[in-house]
Amino acid sequence: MQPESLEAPTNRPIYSPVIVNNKSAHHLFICEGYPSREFQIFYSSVDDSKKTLLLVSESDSTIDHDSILVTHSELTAKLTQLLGEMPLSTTIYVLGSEAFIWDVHSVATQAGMVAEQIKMFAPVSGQRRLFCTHCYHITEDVTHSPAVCSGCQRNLLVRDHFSRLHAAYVGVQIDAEDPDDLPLPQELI
Amino acid sequence: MSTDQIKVRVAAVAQVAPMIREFTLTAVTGSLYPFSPGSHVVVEMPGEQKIYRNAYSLLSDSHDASAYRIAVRLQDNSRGGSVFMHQQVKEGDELLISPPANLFIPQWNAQKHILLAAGVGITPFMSYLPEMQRRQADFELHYLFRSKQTGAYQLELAEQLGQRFFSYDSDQAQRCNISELLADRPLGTHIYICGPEGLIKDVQSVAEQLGWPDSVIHFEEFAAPKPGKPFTVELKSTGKTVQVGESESLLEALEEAEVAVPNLCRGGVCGQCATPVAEGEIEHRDNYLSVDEKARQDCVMPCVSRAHSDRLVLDI
Amino acid sequence: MRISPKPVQSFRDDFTYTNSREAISRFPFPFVEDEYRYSVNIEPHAMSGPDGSVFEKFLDIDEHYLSEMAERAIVLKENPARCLSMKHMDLACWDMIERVMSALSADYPEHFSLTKQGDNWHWHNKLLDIQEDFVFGDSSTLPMSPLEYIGRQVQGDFAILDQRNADLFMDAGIVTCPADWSLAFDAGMSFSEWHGPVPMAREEGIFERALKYLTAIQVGRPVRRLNWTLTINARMDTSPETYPSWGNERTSVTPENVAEKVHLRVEVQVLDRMPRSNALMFSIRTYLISLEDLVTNPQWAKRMHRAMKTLPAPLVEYKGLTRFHPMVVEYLSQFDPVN
Repeated sequence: MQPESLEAPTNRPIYSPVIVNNKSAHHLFICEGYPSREFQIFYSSVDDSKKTLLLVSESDSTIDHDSILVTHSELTAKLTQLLGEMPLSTTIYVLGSEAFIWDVHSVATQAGMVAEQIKMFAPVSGQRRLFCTHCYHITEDVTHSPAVCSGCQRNLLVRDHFSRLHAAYVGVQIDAEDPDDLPLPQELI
Repeated sequence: MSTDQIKVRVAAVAQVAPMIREFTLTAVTGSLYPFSPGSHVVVEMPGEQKIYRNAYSLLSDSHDASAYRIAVRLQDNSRGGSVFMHQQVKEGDELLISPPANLFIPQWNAQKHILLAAGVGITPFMSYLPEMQRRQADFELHYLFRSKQTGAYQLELAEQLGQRFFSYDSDQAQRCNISELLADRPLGTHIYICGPEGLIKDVQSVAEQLGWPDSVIHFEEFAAPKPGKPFTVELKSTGKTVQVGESESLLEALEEAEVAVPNLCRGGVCGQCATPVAEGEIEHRDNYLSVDEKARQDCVMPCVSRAHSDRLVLDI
Repeated sequence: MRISPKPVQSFRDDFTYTNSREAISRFPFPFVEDEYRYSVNIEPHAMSGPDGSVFEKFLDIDEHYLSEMAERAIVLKENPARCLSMKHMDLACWDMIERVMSALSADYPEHFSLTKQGDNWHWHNKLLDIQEDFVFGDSSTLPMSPLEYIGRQVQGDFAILDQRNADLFMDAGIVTCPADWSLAFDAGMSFSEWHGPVPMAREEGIFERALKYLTAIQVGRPVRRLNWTLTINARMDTSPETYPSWGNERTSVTPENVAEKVHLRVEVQVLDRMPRSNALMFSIRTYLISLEDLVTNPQWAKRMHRAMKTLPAPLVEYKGLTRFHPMVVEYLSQFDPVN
């Protein structure tokens, strides 16, 4: 086998364009922070009687007086409660950071939804959640690799290996073999 | 006989409906494998003309592997297998069966299970029910039958399941309205169907209109291979030719000619018998290959699929 | 003739691990050709394999049994999360107990015995001096989780893969001697997700075909494949978790110590369908041999040289061999007459 036939290893989710599932009886829109204009247009394309908007934010922001506003820490309980009242024919549309949309995915799956019912927009930023493979600590909003683990302070290489369960990428110490060999941080894309 | 077939003795035969017989099978030596709810075995039936092989669901409690039970409906247009089971097989006879395999396992993460059985399609659910009760799962069983022919176990099911049991006897003009059955179901509901193709299609079509996701619909159709026009099959490696008759499957014709093809479900689901095709036009009838794979016309599932052309060359 | 387990040797600190001559002769050497080639190399794990080989029995219990069990106990004490099982995997873990206890007691009656009276089982592990009366299927009758209980008594790592929606999920496992993957991180992943980091020929449909094959594995028809890498020192626990404490050993290889330090690490991976749960049991049994011991077989020495010399660069990098790979090739070249 020739080396060039080997592709760079990667396990990152792929985000396809999101379209409204017209067959669905109910549509649940979930957005982290203030909704983008595209998301607002998308939201307004669905009949009012068939939709719910859940905004997740630490500050008071609302685009629709019918929307439900929760903080990140309230999300799991509120979403679980909402889904408990919804019909099998429900579709979720979620916009936010990558960690956020996969957190929503986990809650929705726990509530009995299947993957095809959860439509995810491409993450709004390149920020990543990082799982330290040495101390299992989570570091949020990582933008560069290597990054410092907020648990054990080691310098972690951010690998393109994503866990949907942890909603995080894996981080492995980069200078364990040679402490003098620490590359400059590169921005993650 | 393939190396891992199990020799079993028919310990009991019982008529459980006008057209359905139940067979209790015990190991001749050693013990039987434990199994998971929804499993089936392939029973080999040495008829006078040829060997028949049919898949039958295990209907005993999966916690008890001391014996396997299967139920066989006498088919109106039997190709030989069900007639053999009904007319030839007696208590004390020995048969060969495959180890259990499962292509219809319950989704244990579902929050609500709707079981929909038609006729002898009750069989896989007989092994679901004890495990669902042990796990205190939320389920309901809808059972469609014609009491003049089928309807096995309906009285004991009604007694055991109480309000979870719904029966529809079309010989008493009781109909199951699929739209009503599927309406207003909560998130986390999964449906399992075992019955004829038409019933599966009805459920799929209503579910699609209601906006249900495909992956909450599970079905098992152990329909016998349907007849088709005869054709000739040629093996590319040896040039050997085999005639496939109107009422036998390609797989059966190959087995008859002592061409070994690995297989498991014999119903176009599991993919074990996938065989490369070098020439000829395939009439795909399986649920295994994707639409793209079928369009390539380079692989056939001989357990159910046939040839459009008069001749098919297999690349084996 | 089978070798008896020998007294405990270490896979860390002073590395007292050694292979006897018999252990060397039965080592599962993985290269079947004189050139490295990627292949799926999957075959039936049919019983019984050749007498005395590592494939003779379903589970191979060899001279390192006590050492590997002692090493596993150390790893679990340091980090209990190296064994995990999601709630829905309980039945599959009991499947594993049944499979392992039945196989060990049938294949090694001198070391293990199992007596059943209905669901009341009695297990005796004479090597570890463990006796247990328990009720099959009732986890409260064991001193720890079913997976940890049996995992502490059998060599090799185990992952239990749940099968649903025509896919496989890493939902349980006891993994204390992995070749650089973390069960804690990979938990819950689907087949294609946990293979994401593996460089291989991504020809169209390769994952789909592999998955269709694996999900169709039948009860009573296990299959196996070999995998390999190189490890510095006889270290069993080359996990990402502990990498900060062993990574620097990769810089310790010199032309003088390469034969002693560098070990060929071979995994015999077996996939077996669990009958009660329909899960797949994925066992990963690791064998270590120093290059010094390996080259006592001239044919292995020659093949090893050719395989290492032709190893594609992305694999050298992926397997973490970059720092010492040239020294390995140079050392092995003396055993290859072409050079």
